[in-house]
Amino acid sequence: MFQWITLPALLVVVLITAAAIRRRRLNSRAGAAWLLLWVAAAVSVAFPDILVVVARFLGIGRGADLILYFSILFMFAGFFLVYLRFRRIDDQLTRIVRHLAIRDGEEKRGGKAAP
Amino acid sequence: MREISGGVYVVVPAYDEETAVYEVVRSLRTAFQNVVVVDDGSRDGTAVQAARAGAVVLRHIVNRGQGAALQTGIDYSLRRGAGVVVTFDADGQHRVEDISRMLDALEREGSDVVIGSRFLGPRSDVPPLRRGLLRLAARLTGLTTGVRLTDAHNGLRAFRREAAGKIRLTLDGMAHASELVDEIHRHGLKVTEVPVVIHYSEYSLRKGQSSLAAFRIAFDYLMKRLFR
Repeated sequence: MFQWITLPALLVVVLITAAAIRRRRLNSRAGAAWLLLWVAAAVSVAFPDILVVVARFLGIGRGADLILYFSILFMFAGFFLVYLRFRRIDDQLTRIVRHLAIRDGEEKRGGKAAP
Repeated sequence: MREISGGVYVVVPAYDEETAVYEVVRSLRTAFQNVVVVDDGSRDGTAVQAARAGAVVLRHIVNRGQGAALQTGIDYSLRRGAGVVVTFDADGQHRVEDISRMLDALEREGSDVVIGSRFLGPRSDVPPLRRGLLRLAARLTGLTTGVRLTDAHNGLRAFRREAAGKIRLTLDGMAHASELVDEIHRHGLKVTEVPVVIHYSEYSLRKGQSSLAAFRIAFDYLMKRLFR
C-alpha cells in the first residue's frame, strides 16, 4: 500500500524537478543531484530489500535506520550550507544599504570632495 | 585643540536614540565640526534630532547592526578626507572631554588606534556582571590575537586615517568590537588604551546590550574566525 502512494508522488516530484531544470530555475548540476535523490528514494521504496543489504553492509541493523541516519546527516549539512548562504546575502544587503546611505549623504552635501 | 590635517570626524552609530542623540551631538559639536550620525534604520525621530543638533546624518534604510553602521560612518569620513576618525556612542554614555585625551595619545604615542578603557584610571560605575563579561572578553580576544586590552567592547575609539582605511568590519552586530581587535592584529597596528569614564545611566543600560547578548556576540565572532 505504502508503495502505491509514495511512488506516484515521487513521479510527480521528478516531473516538477525536470520542468524546473528545463526552465533554468535549477542549474543542471543541482538538478541532477535532486533527480538522483528522488530516483534513489523510488528504488528503495520499490525494492526495500536493497536498502537492507546496504544497511547490513554498513553495520546498521535496519534499512529504515539507514535512511534515518543519512537524513539527519544531510539535514545538518543542509542547515549549514543555508547558514553560509544566509551570511553571504546578509553581507551583500549591508553593502547595498551602506552604499545608499553614503550616496544620499553625499548628495545632500553636494559632491564628494573634501571641504 | 591642535590642528589635525583633514580634521577629526566623529562617527555616532544610532538606533532608536531620539531622546539621547540630540544632546550627544550638541555636546560633540561644541568641540568638533564634523559629526556624522549613522541612523541605523531607526523607527523613531533619531535622524531628525541628529540633524537638528547639527550632525551630518547618513541613513541605513533598514537596520543592519552597530558594526555595519560604524563601517558606514568610517567609509563616509574617509571619503570626506578625515585625518582622524573617532567613534562615539549615541546613548550618552561617553564624555566628549575624553576624546581630546585620546587624540593626544594618538599623537604622543604615535599610535594607529586608541581605544577607551573603562577599567583604567578613574572608576566607571560598571555593574559587576558586566565587568566580569567585559574582562573575560578582553582576556579571550587577547589570547587569540595577542593584542592585550583591558576593555574589549568600548565604543569610544580613535583611528588615524591610514588605520581606519585598513580596518574592515564585516560583523554587522555587536561582535564587531572583537573583530576590530582581530583587524588590529592582522594589520599590525599600534594600539594604545586610554582611560575613559563610562556613564551608566538608567537609559543607557536599558537601551544597551543585555548581558545575555554575550552569547550571540561570542557565536558571531567564533563563526567568523572559523569560516573565513
